[in-house]
Parts: sequence; structure tokens; C-alpha cells
Amino acid sequence: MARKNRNPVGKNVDPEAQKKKTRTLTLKSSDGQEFSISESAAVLSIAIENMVEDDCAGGVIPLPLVDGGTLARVITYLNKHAEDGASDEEKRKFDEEFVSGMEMGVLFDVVLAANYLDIRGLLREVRRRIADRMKNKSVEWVRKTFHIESDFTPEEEEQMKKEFAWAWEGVDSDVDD
Amino acid sequence: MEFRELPQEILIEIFSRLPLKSVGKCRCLAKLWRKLLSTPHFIKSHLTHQTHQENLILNTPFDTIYSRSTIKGNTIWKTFPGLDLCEWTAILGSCGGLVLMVLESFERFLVNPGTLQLIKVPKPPLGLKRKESFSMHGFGYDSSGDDYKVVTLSYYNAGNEHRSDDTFVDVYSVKRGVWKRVDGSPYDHRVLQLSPGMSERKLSKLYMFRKTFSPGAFVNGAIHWLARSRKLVGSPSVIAAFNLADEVFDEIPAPSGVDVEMFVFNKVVVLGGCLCLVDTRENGPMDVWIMKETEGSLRDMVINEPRAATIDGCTFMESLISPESKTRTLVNKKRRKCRYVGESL
Repeated sequence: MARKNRNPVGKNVDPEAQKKKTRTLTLKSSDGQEFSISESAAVLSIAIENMVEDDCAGGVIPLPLVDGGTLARVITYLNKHAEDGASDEEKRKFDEEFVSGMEMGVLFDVVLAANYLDIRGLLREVRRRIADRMKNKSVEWVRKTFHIESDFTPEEEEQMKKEFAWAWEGVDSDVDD
Repeated sequence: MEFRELPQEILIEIFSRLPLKSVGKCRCLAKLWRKLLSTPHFIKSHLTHQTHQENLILNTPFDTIYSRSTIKGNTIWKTFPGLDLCEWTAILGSCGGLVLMVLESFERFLVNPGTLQLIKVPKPPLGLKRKESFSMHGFGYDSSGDDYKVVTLSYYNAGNEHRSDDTFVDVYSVKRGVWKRVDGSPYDHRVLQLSPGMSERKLSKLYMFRKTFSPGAFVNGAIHWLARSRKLVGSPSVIAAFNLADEVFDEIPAPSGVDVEMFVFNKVVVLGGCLCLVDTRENGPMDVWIMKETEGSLRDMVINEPRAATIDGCTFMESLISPESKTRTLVNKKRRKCRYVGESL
């Protein structure tokens, strides 16, 4: 069994890493779309790395929880981060642009995929972006967006507003997203 | 538009990246969320994601205390309700978003400038009488016991009838709400004795400094104060460090090049996460010694910002080096040269 190598990118002397660059895997989305990706990029996902190591992959790795559109986005991210010679600054810029255009619904799809595939960097980036978008939004907006139902009575709700009065100023309108 | 439902652990991770006000609102989402967003684990995770620049506590020339927060570029100033803070005297320490303050009445309060919450810290049961003694304070976090601690060092004034040179150390556990007396300090903390042979005029000037002198600087799990060694010949000036986990003292030697006679005019502060010694005597550029975490001594640096005399030490040091600025300009006073110091400061 291959030695566990959590960060194969950039280790130019490792023959195993060289092999990973040339080997390709096929990822299959929930809606049956197939994507080719180099092994070195794919194993940035800890979940895929484990599947490859346990050799349960066969020729095609099925990802029943990720749809084609989302998987295409995730693969773009993985390819950039596995790219030879991409500096940290370049990757940071890429991350910034990668998430900045996404609508809230897309961010949710990507955060679920990143969580399922265990891609730490992407997960961190998307969580931060979602948090940015929900700053200064009303409680009703947050409840609706995240499917949270209030179990407070109207009296309790009033009491909470008093208790957390410091939090109830400067709320934006809920129009965007 | 309907979005997919995110699992609880992802939501907690997202919420821990929100500004404080948004967290307050999210506690009002539902009973479960009120509980989940109030656990010590969540609070700690929230603090580690914050850049500590959202809320600041400031005093104006009128000695009033405000909490400042910024929403979309607008600064909001708020006073603390239910307490006449016009009578506050000094900030005694700050850590984890909380600030320890003392009023003119010598009452001590822990305040949260974000939520405007206050906790009164009771008097230490073994505390010395105020008229006969002097106390220094410190405030910090003990990660091993997951507890915030207030520490006081107190000693009798010179010429006291008790004839005791001891420095008593009392530690208050915020979690348990109790004071306890621990072993006394092996160092000499008497600020007036720190500079031998000082003139009357200097002494009176020093007296004015004294009340802002006493706060210890909390960094690396320990609270730091100026002190003199009792063990070594000539009682050299040192920085005494009280470790909050095991509640014992250690020391850092004074930087070479510091004016020993004037050591007492220095102030121990935390800048950019590093312990620093600042010479507070002059207007204009001032000497700053900075300790890197890996080093056991302080390095000589000078900051080229004018001193803002009306602003308290804690705040004015923060304002010297903006947390947003990527580079920091420091000036070496002797060489009159600028140099840029990166994030590693």
C-alpha cells in the first residue's frame, strides 16, 4: 500500500508524486457526468485520496452526493491548487476570484461538496465567503436561508431582543442574494 | 430562493467567522442555536477567527469610557449602561476581548466592549489596606484550566509599621468566582525603588505615571511586570513573568542599552502579539524593545509615532501599529533610519 502522503504537491523528488501527476482518474457525478483529473489534483481531496489508497476506486470514482455543475467547479479548484509552480499568492488570488462570483445557492452546493470530499482549503474559503454575505442580515433572513425554525414564543423573542440589544443595530435590507 | 440545507457542524463553522453582532443575532434564531453559540468551545473558536479590530475601548480627555464599533465604515460610540464610568481610573489589562478596569472607588470590573456586559470583580479577602500599600494588577487567560484570571501583586508602602518587604500575590478565578493567595513574588516590585537615587522632582513625576504603570502585559500565558531581582548582585532590573497555568514567576532580563536609572519610566505592553518595553518619557519617537517569541531577551527598536498623551496606554499602543497594515515602520533612534518590519514583528 502506498505511503500516506497528504501533501504531494511540490515534492519534486518523490517518484510516487511524479506518477500521480501522469496518472488520471475519472470522477462520476450524481447525474452521471464523467470528469478526468490527474491523480495529484484529485488527492487534494482527502476523501478521494482514501478511496484511491484503499483501491476501491477501480477505473471510475462515483461521487453520488455531488452534481455535475458543482463537481466541475471543484475540479477547477483542485487543478489550480495542484498546478506546478503556482505561487501561494497566485492561489490566494485564484481562491478570492473563484468564490466571489458565486451566488449563495452555489456556495451552499460547493461547501457541501468540499465537506463531503474533505478539501480543507476550499471548505475554509467558502465558509468565510458565506459568513461575509450574511453579516448584518436580519434574523428572519438567516432563518429562511439556513432552514432554521424559531421555537421562541413572541414573548421570548421580545425578551431575547432585549437581552441581545447590542446585536440589533445596523441591520441591512435582505434584498441581495 | 430555496437553498439546500447545511448540516449543523458546517453552520457552526460559518457562524464562528461572523462579527460579534451577527453572532448575537444568531443566538436569537432558536433555542438550540442560543445554546450552540454560547458554548466555551464556540466562543474560543470565534475569538481565534476574529482579527480583534472590531471593538475597541477608548477613553477621551474627559475620562469617560466608550465602546467603539464599526458597521459598514460608520463608527458607533456607546457608553456602558448602568454604571457611572466617569469615575474610572485605569485599564488594568485586556485579553480575549475582555478588559479589566478599575474605578476611582477601587472597584474592579471586567467589561466586554462588544456586548457592553460588565462583571464586578470582588475585593481580595486578604488584600492589604489601601492606605498602607500599593497594588499592581494583571489580567489573562489560563488555557490549561480554561479560565480567565485576575492577578494582584501588593506590598506595604515604604516605612510601614509592618516591616515586611514581601510582595503578596492574589489570584482571582473568573470561572469559579474566588480569590486565592499563592506564594509571594521572589522579585522586588516596588516601583519607587526601581530607580535608586532619583530626585524629588522625578519622583513626583513618577507618581503621576504610577497609576498607568501597574497593568501587567499578558502574552504567552504569562503576565509581565517591571521588577528587580532579589537574588542577583546589584539587584538588576528584570521583567518578571507570572505564569497563569502553574502560578509561579520566571524572568526576562532587561534589554542591554536600556537606561537602568530610568527603567521605571518604561512600560511593558503587548504589540502585535509580542512583549515590548516602551520608554514613555519623551514626546516624539520613543524606544521600543520587542521580544520575539523564540528569544529570551528584548531587541532594540524605536517607533516613529508621536506619543498621544491623552490616550491610555493600552489603546495608544494598539493605535501605533494598525492591525490592518501589512508592514510596520520602525525607526532606530540612534541611527535615524527607517526600517520595515513584516508580520513576524
